[in-house]
Amino acid sequence: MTFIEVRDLIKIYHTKEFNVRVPALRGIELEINQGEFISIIGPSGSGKTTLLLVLAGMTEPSAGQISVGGVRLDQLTEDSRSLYRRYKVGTLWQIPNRNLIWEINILENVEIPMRLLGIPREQRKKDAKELLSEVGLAKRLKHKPSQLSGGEVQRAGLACALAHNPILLLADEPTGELDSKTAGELLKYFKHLNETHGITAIMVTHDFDVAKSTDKLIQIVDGRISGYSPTEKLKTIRDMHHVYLDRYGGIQLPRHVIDKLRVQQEIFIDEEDGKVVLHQNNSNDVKKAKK
Amino acid sequence: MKRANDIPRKSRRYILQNFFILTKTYFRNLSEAKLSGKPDFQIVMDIILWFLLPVLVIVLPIVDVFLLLFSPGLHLFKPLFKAGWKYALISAIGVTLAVSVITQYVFFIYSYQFQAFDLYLADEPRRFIQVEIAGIPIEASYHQYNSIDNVAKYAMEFIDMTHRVPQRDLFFKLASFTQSTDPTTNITSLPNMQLYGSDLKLRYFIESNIAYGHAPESDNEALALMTRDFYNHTTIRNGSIIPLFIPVALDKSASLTVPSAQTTVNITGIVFLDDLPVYNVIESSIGIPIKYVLELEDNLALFTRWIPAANINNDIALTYSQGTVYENLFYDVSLIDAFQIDTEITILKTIGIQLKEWYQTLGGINNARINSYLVDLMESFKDEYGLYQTFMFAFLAPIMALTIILTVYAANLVRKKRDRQLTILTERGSNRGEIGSYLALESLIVGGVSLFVGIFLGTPIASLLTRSSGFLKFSNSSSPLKIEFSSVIVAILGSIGAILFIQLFNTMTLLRKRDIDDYGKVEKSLPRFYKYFVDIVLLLLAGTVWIVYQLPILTSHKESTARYIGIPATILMIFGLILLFQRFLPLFSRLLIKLTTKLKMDISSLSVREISRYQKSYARSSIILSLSFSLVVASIVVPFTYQNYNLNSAYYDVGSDIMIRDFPIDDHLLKASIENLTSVESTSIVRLINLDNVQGDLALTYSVFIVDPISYNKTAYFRDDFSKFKFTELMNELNTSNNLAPKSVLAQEDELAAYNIKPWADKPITYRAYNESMRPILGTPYWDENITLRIMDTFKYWPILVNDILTTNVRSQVFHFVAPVNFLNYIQVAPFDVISYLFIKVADGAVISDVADEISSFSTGFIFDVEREVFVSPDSPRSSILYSAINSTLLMSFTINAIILALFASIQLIDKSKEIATMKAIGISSRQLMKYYISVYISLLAFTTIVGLIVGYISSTMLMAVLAINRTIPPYAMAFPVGQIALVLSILFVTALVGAAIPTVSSSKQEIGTELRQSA
Repeated sequence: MTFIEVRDLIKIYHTKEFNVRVPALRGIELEINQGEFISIIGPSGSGKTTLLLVLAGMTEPSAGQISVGGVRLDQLTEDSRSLYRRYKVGTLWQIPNRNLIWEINILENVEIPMRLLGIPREQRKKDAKELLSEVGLAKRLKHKPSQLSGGEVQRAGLACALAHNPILLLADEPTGELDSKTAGELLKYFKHLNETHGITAIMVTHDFDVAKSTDKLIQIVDGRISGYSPTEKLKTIRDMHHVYLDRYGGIQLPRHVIDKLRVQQEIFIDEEDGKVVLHQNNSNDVKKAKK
Repeated sequence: MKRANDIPRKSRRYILQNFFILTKTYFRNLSEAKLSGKPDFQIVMDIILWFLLPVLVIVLPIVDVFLLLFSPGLHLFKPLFKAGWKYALISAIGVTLAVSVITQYVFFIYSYQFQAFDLYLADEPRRFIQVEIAGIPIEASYHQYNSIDNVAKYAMEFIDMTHRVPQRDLFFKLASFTQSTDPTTNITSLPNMQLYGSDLKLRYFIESNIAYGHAPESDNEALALMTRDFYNHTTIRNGSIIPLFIPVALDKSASLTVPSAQTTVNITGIVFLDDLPVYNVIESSIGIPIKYVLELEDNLALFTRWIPAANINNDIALTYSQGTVYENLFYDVSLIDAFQIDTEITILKTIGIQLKEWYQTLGGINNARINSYLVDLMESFKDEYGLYQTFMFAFLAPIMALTIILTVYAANLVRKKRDRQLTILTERGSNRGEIGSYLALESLIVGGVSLFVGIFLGTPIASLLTRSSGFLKFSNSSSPLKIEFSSVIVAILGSIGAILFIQLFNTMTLLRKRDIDDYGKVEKSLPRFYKYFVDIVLLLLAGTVWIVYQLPILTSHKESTARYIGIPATILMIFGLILLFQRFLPLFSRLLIKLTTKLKMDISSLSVREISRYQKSYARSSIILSLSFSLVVASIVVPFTYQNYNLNSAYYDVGSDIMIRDFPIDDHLLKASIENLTSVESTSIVRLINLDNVQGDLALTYSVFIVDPISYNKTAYFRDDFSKFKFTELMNELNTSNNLAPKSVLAQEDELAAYNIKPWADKPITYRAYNESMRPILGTPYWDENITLRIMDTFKYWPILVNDILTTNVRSQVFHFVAPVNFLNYIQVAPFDVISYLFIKVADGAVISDVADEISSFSTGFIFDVEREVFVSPDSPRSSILYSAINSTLLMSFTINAIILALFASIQLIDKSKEIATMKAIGISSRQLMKYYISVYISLLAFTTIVGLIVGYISSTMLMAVLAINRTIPPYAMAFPVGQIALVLSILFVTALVGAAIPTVSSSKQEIGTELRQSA
């Protein structure tokens, strides 16, 4: 059953200071079923986060139709969008202090979305404690975010995002600041919560290993969906699109390529028969050696 | 005719009337503004102000209470307040400051006006309206007594003013003389001995203070009132029978032995005037010395009841013995509302008019003269206080602006930090209503706490201000702070208004649509409003308003345009200049970078770059600090200039240290005895004549000041800018011409220019000459005489002589000349037309007023001295009033400076905690960090001090031009008391620096790890 349906979504940012219009999304078409765990990948500036913000009801689309669980986001007023966020969406961001208020402890942080729903104090405390236990922070309830590790902070953020029992969980590179082991742990919790709570989850990431753990992968390049695939076919996508070239000619190598080739600091690029070839060593050295 | 009972006795809108120190109510303004001839723009301003205030103080609190009770953000209160209390505290400091400033000002100005009025009252003991009926035949009957007294009574009842006049006293006075012999010298003289007749309270008061003897019982008996000193030098005792003459008798015979009209009086008792307590009036806690009640002019008088006194009068054997009757209507001064001086003056004038009318219609007395000393007092208070009030208003606006900018600034700075919290809330689904109501609720709590703390802090400061005794001196204990219910209400309402304004601003700022990623922007440009050239616009506006203020068409309305055009122009100029100077802040920082780099001051060089990097926030702080500094400079320069001007003005009026007018110039012995005083350095005789002439419709007057150039040069006061020539040169020239070219004079520059007469030209004049011996020939002693004056040089101003600058008048023209002594030989005038002065210069170290007192003990003539003539003399009550105004500005600037820099430093350090942590991580020591930030603050303070000095001085010049309306002779010279300014600026500098150092120290002690993670 289609849970999220996006038709011809356009978002243009207008920078008043310089009077510049920047198109971030240029006609996104998307369908996501309920309970799916989706990852969105794409180079920097491709519009991933904008898509997430639109789905979260935090940014108004410039044009197009977006329906989430039957709610037409493009037709909502400012107040309705607040209610949409309050009841339907949970968000988790890469930067920890965007998920949590740093000056209060994590239990109080988790309670805030519940307060907004008017859940009674006792119930609220009980649910918040349960949620934090679920993400493995049962013993850190009274700790402030500054007293936790990076992974713990993100787990607390996840608890916060789920505190009001949303139907949609949106995460923007939640593992971006974590090492692979901690990132793995967080994803485990993510997946677990997705499965047990039946939440539709969308995650923006750069990391193929992370994306691999989701049901479906959407690739966005330059404000458009350039690939749309279940993760079983990930390999094909990976073969075709695994390197992104930004507008300055910069490329980002996938983690598994870096790991496999044991790329250190430098990698050498060569053009052979219309193909771009990457070498671990300088090709001239190789050629010299061949001679 | 407007009657006094049409005027409210005491305004029921007392609280509103005093709101924001406005002395007129909006309602009264509306109803009476047109009638009172108020300008339209002023009425509009009042209406706007009085409409805004109810909105601020009534509507918004209701909204607040509503929010408190039904706040949709109530459920968020606990975690959010816990998370944001630090920032709420910073806001609270700003709001507390605003409340404290308002409280200080309201309490102080309220108290100040009463205090100022009390000081004026203390200067005027004659707190009564006096009806003086001269030349009235005194009847020996109580019918006359009652009928005269009843006229006043009925008049007061008719206009419903009996409550304001709780007591009346009626007495008559007859000018008379007696013979007195001094037993020590055995010299007999004829001292004035006025005969008083009165009854009731006045009589009981005198009779209850008899030193020797008893109260008079028969018709020819009376009490003798005298000073103890006189008692020791007279043979008049109780039991003496003394002769009593009236002046007409002496005129007739001019002989002591056989005056034609006389009687004898038995002295039954002696009353010492020195020992008399003050005369207490019903409903008044302050007594009046009896000499003022009785209009006693001498140290001897006779007093008895009305009928015996009338009989003594009749016994003097003139057909109609006419005395002067006085009805004193004692006014209840406690009912005077010092805030409603205009109304009070109207009431008093109405009483006077009514009394005159009633005496005319009911008493058939046409010559009743009304002496209302209180009206004079209040009019003088109104003028003088108006001047100080203008001064205070001029500073009030920028101080209020400073406070508001400061709190808004604090709110803006904390906004960044709050933004993060509020963004999370928004993302979690909070709507604006919830966040807004939460913020309103928080503001309410902050405001409530600030209200109490602010009032608590503001009260002692206001109390301190009322004790001002001089420049930053607070030793005056005679006028304690007067806190009344109405002033507390005004302070609370004013503070609530300010809190609500700030709250509204903060809430609106925090509620704005936020860009989630809008953090950590480098503010490498001046604030946005500079793009719109706000500074230039303000300056242009100020210039235009100033030009309008100077328009010749408005010259005659300067009194009213000063406050509403002159002061706003000055304020606009202050703001415009302050903003303009901030454009030089980046340049200043670049200079500092170069300098510190050259001097190899590595840390400082690094730190001053902050000013360029965070231009926006530094420029904002700089605006506040510069404004504060310039206010301080102006609040020192203006009063000092004014004080100097007062002294100069007194010298200009007196002409030298001491001046005796109508000095008997032929009394060489007297002159010699003055010159022989060790405290006298030199003297000079000066004479003034007005040579009048009428040609057709034109009245010409040649006012000639005749001086002895040599002695005048040594004695007189003359300032360099009074003439383009040096005073000594002018006098030498005059002295030489005295012999070479008779009738040579110095003339007033602008008068010559108006008639296109050049120096060294001859000026023929015609004047009305007088000589008694011409009467038999001409039938009159007057005829027109022609002489030709030689104009030698010119002057702009001449003490005593020139009291008006030239104004074109088609009907009359005055020419002012200064001539040498032999000028009198060439003109023929009546001796009584020549006014003679003796100018006296006091020796160094001598106290002028003491010397004047010494001279007055043996000299005749009217003696004036500079110290007594000065309008606001140092250490006088008036000086205390003036300095209260200065000190209030200074104290507020100290507070504002310390808080602004402390707030600025706190917020900057919060904002840059990551940067600080990074610096600490790379090894910067706490000491270096301190040096780093203190260098920036010192640089900022140095810049703002320079700006403050320049803007302060320019604004002072403008303010003085506004304050010096109608007081342009002599021209004032701007004072720049370097010592005082340096002292105050140093204090400001240090307080601001200490304010900045506290958060810097605390920040340098923060743990690096926590800082780095928190600010990630």
